[in-house]
Amino acid sequence: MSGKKAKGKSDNSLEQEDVLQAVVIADSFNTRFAPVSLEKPRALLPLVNCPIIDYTLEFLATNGVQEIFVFCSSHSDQIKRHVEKCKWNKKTSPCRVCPVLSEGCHSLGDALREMERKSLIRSHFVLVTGDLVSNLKLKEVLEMHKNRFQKDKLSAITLVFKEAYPGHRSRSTEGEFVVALDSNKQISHYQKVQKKREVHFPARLFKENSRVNVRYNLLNTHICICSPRVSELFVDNFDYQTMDDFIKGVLVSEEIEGNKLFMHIIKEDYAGTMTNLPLYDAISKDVIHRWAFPMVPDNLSVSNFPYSLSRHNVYLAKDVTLEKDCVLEEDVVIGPGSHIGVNTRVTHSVIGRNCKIGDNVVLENAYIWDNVTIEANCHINMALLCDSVHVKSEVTIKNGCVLSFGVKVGPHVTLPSGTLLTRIPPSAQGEDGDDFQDTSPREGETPGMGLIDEASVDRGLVGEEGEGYVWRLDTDEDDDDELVQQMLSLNLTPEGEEEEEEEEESEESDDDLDDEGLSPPASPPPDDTKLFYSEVLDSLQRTIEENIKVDNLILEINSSKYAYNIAMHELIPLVMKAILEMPHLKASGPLSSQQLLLAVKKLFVRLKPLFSNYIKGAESQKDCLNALEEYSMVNESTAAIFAKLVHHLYDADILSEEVILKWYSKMDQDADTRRREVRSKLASFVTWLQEAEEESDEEGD
Amino acid sequence: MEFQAVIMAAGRGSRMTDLSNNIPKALLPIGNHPMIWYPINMLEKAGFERVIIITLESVGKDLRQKLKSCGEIKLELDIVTIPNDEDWGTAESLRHIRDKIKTDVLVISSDLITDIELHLLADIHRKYDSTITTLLYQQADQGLEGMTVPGTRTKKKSDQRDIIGLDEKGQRMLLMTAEADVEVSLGLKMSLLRKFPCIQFETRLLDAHMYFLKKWVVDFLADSKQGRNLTTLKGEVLPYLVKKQFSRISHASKADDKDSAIINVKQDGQLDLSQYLPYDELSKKSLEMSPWNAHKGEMSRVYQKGDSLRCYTYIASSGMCLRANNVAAYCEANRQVTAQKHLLGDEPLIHPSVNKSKSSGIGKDCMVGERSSIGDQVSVKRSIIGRHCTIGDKVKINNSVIMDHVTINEGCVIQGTILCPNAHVNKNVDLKDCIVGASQNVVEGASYNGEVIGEGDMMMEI
Repeated sequence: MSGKKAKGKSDNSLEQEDVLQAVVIADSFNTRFAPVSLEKPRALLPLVNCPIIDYTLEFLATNGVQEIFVFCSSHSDQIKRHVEKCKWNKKTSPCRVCPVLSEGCHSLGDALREMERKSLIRSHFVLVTGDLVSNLKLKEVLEMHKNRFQKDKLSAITLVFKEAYPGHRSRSTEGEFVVALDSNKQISHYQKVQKKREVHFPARLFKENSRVNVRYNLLNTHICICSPRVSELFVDNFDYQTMDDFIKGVLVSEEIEGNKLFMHIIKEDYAGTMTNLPLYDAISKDVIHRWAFPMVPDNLSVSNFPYSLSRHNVYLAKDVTLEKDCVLEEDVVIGPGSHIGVNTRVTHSVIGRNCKIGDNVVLENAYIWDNVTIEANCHINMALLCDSVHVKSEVTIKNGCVLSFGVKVGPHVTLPSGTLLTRIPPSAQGEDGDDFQDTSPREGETPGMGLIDEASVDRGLVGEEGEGYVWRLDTDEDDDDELVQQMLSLNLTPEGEEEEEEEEESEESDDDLDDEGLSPPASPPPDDTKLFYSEVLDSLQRTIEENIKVDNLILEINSSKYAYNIAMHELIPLVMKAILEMPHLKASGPLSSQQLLLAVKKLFVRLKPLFSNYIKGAESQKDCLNALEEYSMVNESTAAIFAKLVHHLYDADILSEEVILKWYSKMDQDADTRRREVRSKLASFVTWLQEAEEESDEEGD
Repeated sequence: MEFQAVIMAAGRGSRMTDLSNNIPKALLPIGNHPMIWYPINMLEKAGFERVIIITLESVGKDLRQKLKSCGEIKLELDIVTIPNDEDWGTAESLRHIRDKIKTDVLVISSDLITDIELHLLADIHRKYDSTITTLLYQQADQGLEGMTVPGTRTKKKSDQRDIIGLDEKGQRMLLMTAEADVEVSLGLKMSLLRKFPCIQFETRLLDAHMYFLKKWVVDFLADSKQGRNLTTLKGEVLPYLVKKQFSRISHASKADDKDSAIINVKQDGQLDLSQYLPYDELSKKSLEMSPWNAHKGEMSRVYQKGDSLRCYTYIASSGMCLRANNVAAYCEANRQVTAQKHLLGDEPLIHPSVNKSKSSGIGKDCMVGERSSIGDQVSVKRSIIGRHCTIGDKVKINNSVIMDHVTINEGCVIQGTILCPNAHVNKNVDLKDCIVGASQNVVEGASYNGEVIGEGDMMMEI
C-alpha cells in the first residue's frame, strides 16, 4: 500500500473513529466439540450455565464497542435467534449486535472476506472468536494500536497474548507455539511447535536485531486489534484461511510488503478461549474461581436468574432443593429449579436448570446442562452431560465421557473412559463426508430426537434402557492431524516430554568436545512410519495382554494414524507386519512353524474385527497379501506357514477368491528369486482354489 | 579467603601486532599506565591481598619493574611465567597454576579496563552459587565501527559477535554461540524452552573476560580427559559449561560407590564432568524430604530442579568497560580513560613537573606525563603524551597516543596516530592515522597517511 493511499484512508476513518466495531466469529470451523456441536453451535454451549457467546458479547460491550457483528455460518439460525433477543439489542443498550449470516464459509479467512465484501467494517476493529471469556480492558491496547498505526501505516495488527507458563491448565496442548519478538514487541518469528523436539530460528533474526525475545510462555487469546489493512490482506491473499496463515504470510512477505505484526502481552487480566474440551473444563473452573471477575456466575448480568455465593465457591440459584445429608463440597454451581437427592456428594461441578440428581450420587468434575436426570447411586467423574440426558440408576461414568443431547444410559452399566454418546445414528454420522460436520445446517434440524434404531445400539455399553450411539471420531483420510479430538480431562503434560528426555540423554552421552556448536543442524526427522509401527505394536500387545476390546484397538490405531500421518495403503502392511511380529516378541526362543501357526491363527481370530475394519476393497486385500509376502520373505518360519495363513484369511472371508487369484497371477517380471520362492508356496493353495472342489487333502498335509 | 585472583597476561596481542611487536601487550600504556595496572588496581581496591599473574617468561622481569615505576602497589604479586613463552590458552595457563588454586578463582584478562564494582559480579556468584559467573558488557551503540584505525586506511569492521541467550531476569546464561556458527538457523530444544519459556537473545554483548570460577572447574580442567582438551576459557570452557547445564547428570554411579569405583578404574582418569559436581547424600536427602515450596527466594528454582551446574552473568550497563585487545579498542581506551578520574587515582592529568609554555593549549581530556616539555603555540586535543617527551613549537596533536621519550620537532601535525617509545619525529612532518614503531626516526617534511612506520618486517598491514 502506498503511503498516499494509506493517508487518505486514515483521514476517512477519522470521522468515523467514534464508532468502535468488533467482529465475533461465532463458528469454530472444526469438530472438536463433536458430537455436541452437531446439535448446537459452540458459541451457544453453556459455560457455567450461560451461553459462552454472552461472555464474549459482555466483554465487548463493557469495553465500549458500539457495533458488534456476529458472524455465523453453521447453525446460523440458532445463533441469529439468540443474538436478536439478547439484552444488548434492547433500546437502552449502548451497542448494537447484528448477526451476519453466511453459510458455506469454512474459515476465518472466508469470514473476513465476506465482511469486507459487505463493507461493514469502516475502521480499526476488534476481532474475537465466539468462545472468548475475558475481562481485559481494551482501551490501552486500542490506544497503543492506533498510535502505532499513526506512526506507521504498515502496523497491520496487534495480537493479544496472555502470559501462561508451560503446563498452565488454561493452555491448550494443541496450539503450542513459540514466538520471537524484537524490543518493540513486533513479532519477527512465529512457529507452531506441536510435537517438535527442536525449534529453529532463522539466522537473520539475530543479525537484524540486537535483542530477540523468544517466548514460549504465552497462550493465544484470539483477541486481535485489526487495522483496515487486515481485511485487505485477507482479500488479496485468498489462500489465507486461519489467523496462523495470516501471521505466517505476513512474516514471509515482510521484506517485500513491509506489513508488521505486533503483540500485546497481558499478565494480570484474564482471557481464554474454549477451543477444546479440556479448555472448557479449565475455563469453567476459572470462572467459578472468579479469575475472570467480573465475569462470574453471581455477577453475570447475562443470566436471568441470580445466584447466591457461599463459602468454598458454592453458587446456588433460586428454587434449588437440597435434600438432607447432601454435601456440596467446593466449586459447585447449581442452576434454578434443580433438585439434589439424599446423601449425594457434589464437588467441582456445574449443574444446570431443572436437573434432578437422585440419592447417593457422587458428582466430581461433572458438567451437567439443563433438564438432566441422574438416578440414584450413580458415580460421575469428569464428564459432560448435555441437555435432557437421562442417567439411570447405578451407572458409573468415567473420565472424559461426553453424553450429547437426549442420550439415555443405564441402568447398571459402566461407561469406560472417553466414551462419546449421541443420538445421531451412525448412518448419519459420516454423511457429509469431507465437510466440517458442525458447519452442516442439515444436522441442525432437531437431530437425534427420533426413534432409536435398535440394531446399531451397543446394549452392553449403554445398558438395557439406554438410548444413544457411540460417536466415532472422524476418520477422514485427508484430515488434518491437528484436528484429532482431545478428550475431556486429557489436558495433561505436554506430550512427548519423557521421550524427549531420553533422547537427550543418549545424545549427550556420546557428545564429545568436538561438537559443532549448540545443536547439530536439523537432525533428520524421526521416521513417522517407524514410530507408527512401534505405536501399533504397543497397542496390539496391550490389547492381547489386557484383553481390551478390538474396537478400542481400532480407535487407537486410527489416532496413531493421524498422529503420524499414515495413509491407508501404508497402514495395512504396517499393521499386518505388527501382527505377524507379535508371536515372536512373546516367545523366548525361535518358534517352530507349528507353534507359530497356532499363535498367529489365534491372533487372527481375536483380531478379526480389526481386519474387517481395514480390509474392505480389493485394493486393501492386495495390500494385505503383499504385506504377508513381504514379511515371509524376511522371516523363514513365517514363510513356511505362508500358504496356511492365506488360507485362513480366505476362510475368514477377509480375502476373496478373485483377489487371491488375480494377485497370484500378477507377478512382476523383475521380482527377485526370494519373492518367487515365497510366492510358489501358494501354488498348491491356488490350484485348490481354482479347482474349487471340496476340502482338499493336498492342502491338509 | 573466598576468592583467589588470577590475571592472565600472557597474551601476545595477536590482533595488534604493530603495537605488541614493540612492547609486550600487557605493558602497553593506557593513560600513561601499563594496561595490566588497571586490573591490579581494581583488585587492590576490592580488597584482594594477593594476585597471581600469568605472563610470558620473557615479559616477567619487565613487568615487575614497570609496575614498580607506577607507584606503590600493596598487592602481593605472584608472577608465574609460562616456560619458553609457549602459546598457551587461558585454560591451559590455569591448569599450569593448578597447585596454587585452593579456593574459587577470579580470572581477569590483563587488557580489561573497567570501573564496575567487583562485588556486583561476586554477589551474583554467591547468590546463585554459580559455577561460572561472567561479566558481559554492551557494545557501544555504533561500536568502534566506522572509525579509522591507526596504521591502516580501512575502517574498523564489526567484531565477531556472539548470540547469548539469557533467562527472563537476564542473569542466567542459557545458550552461547558465535553468530558466525549460526549459518541458516539457530536450533533450540523444546525441553529448554519448557524450562525457560522466556529467553532473551542478545547479540550486542561482549565478554569482558572476567570470570568467577568454582574450584572444581579448575580440577576438572586439570584432571579429566575432557577438561584437558579445553584450551581457552572464553572460546571453549564457557560454551562447554553453558551447554552442559541442561544435559542430564547422573549421580547414580556416585550413589553406588562400588560400581563407580570400578568404572573409574576402568576409565582411568576419564572422569566425566558430573564427577566433579558438588554432590552429597545429605543434600539429596534433604531435597527429597522437603516439600515443594520449602525453598523461597532466588535459589528456589534451582533447588527444586536440582540443576547443579549453573552459569550466570552480570551485564555492565553503565560506566566504562572495554577490552583493549586490538588497535582500535586500544585508542578508544586511551580516549576514554582521561574521563575516568576514579580509575586513574589522584594523579593530575597533567603532571606538575611538565614544562609547558604558556602559549600552548592542552585540552582537558588530555594527559601529559612527568618531565615532558611542551613548546610554544602547541595545541593538544584528546591525546595522551607520555613521560619525558619533548614537543617542539607549533606542533598540533589530535586524537593521538604518544608514549614515553618521544621527540616531536616543530611544525608537526599528528593526528590519530600512535607513537611508540623513543620515536623521533623531525620538523614539519604530517602523520595521519599512523603507527610509528619504537625508536623510529621520521624524516623531515615527510607525510604519511594510514601507515605503519617501523622495521622492515613490521611494515605489513593488519
